[in-house]
Amino acid sequence: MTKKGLSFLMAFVFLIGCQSGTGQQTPATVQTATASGPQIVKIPITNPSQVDSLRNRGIDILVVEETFVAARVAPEEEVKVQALQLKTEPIKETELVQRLVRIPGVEKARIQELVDLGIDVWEVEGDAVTAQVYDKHIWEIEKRGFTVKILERNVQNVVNKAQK
Amino acid sequence: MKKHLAKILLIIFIPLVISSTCNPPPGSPDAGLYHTYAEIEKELHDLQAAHSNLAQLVDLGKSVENRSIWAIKISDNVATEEDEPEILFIGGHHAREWISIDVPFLLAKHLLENYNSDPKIQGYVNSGEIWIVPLLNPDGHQYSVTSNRLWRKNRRNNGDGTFGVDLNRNYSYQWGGPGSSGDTFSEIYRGSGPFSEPETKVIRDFSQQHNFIAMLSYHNFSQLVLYPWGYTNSPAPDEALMHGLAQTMADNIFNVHGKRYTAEQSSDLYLASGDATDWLYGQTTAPSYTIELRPASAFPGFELPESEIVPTFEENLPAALFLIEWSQTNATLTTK
Repeated sequence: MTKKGLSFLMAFVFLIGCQSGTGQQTPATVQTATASGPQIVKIPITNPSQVDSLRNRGIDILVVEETFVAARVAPEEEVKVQALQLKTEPIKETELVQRLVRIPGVEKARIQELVDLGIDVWEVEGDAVTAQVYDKHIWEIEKRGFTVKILERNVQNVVNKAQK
Repeated sequence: MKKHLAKILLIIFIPLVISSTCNPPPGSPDAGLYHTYAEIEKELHDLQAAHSNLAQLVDLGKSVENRSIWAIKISDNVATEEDEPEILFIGGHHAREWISIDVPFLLAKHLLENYNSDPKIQGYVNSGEIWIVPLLNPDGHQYSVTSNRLWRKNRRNNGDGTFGVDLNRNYSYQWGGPGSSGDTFSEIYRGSGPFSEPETKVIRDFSQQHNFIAMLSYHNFSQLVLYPWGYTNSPAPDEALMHGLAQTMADNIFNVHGKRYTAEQSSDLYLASGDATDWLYGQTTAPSYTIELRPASAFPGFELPESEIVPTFEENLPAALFLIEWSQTNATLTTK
């Protein structure tokens, strides 16, 4: 092998060696969405009354933002959304917004009621529960007679704040 | 002339190749002083290389996104499966709980780096087989570092527009009970079935191949030492023993930097089903613990300042060593 060929070979080996050492992995193929079951979708809205209209038609709403709602919609419910001149769209993960809330006055015996709604309890301090929740959870918590204080409209706003 | 041109090109080309492949590109995962997956993986390999007579890395299996889940075995005659008491430490069930990864990693490092100088450490390593899985949820952790600091679950595509299963609700013992959710969007989504996730299957299969005398799973936050049961308020058959050990660990922690961790049954706050400690204890009767590390409260919560990594490890070291010692000397339970 010529010197030039050897140099190129060394550079090639080096390149391959460095790439295998980065620890980066190729993500596996993920399962595709099944069209048969309910999907979590985005429904763009133009005014708040559309939220009530969707709710009145039995749509399971998870999050209400100013310009859209996130909802769990079964294929057979699509027609209900369309009847309101609305449409469903795939939702981005960042659009599934959760709130950080504080729920005061929770007796120990009733904490489990909140946990079993599927909320993400961060802390139980005395009779107050701090949790990461969807709007759907807030409505269910309030239905049970608790008061919900929103600490952050988007829990992501907490990031880095604690250390400032 | 052609020859010279080729040499000049090589001189220019090689440094470019080095800088573009060996240095992390701008925007690559960076968790500051906390470890990313790539850093943990590299440092575990480095530890094994530096202590090849005492440390053995084992790839337990792959995560949903095909990352290796690493365990490091620490023992004398490490390549041999000896008839010695075994103990398991796990970190990183929950992606956002970064300190729960660093503490078991630093434990492995401490055991290996102090083997020659500390007779007590030498005794623990010689008398038992210490297994440490610092990062059980590598995909979720990577996502927490790169995209969503507060991500908790793994990165399972649930097929309905949501991602993630709560690994610590996915173990089979009392799976589906209180304190877990069947809603895919929930942060405590238990998965489509017990052990539906490769990450928990790895622990199941690994535990079945070994005879762990005790287990400790790190989480944060709240400063608690928790023991089974989590799924019920009823006391476990070995409640007195497990509480005693938990209290001793809490006392050991307190004695280092004065941080008070509370020892209690896991269900004392609220019920949670399908977690790792209920599963291992339920299967084998091996005392199994969750330590919720610093801080004590929601602010700073998951974002424990980097300056607290080392103190958190320092205070938890004697608790871990105590459990290792207990597993090797005082364990009277017959497991399996």
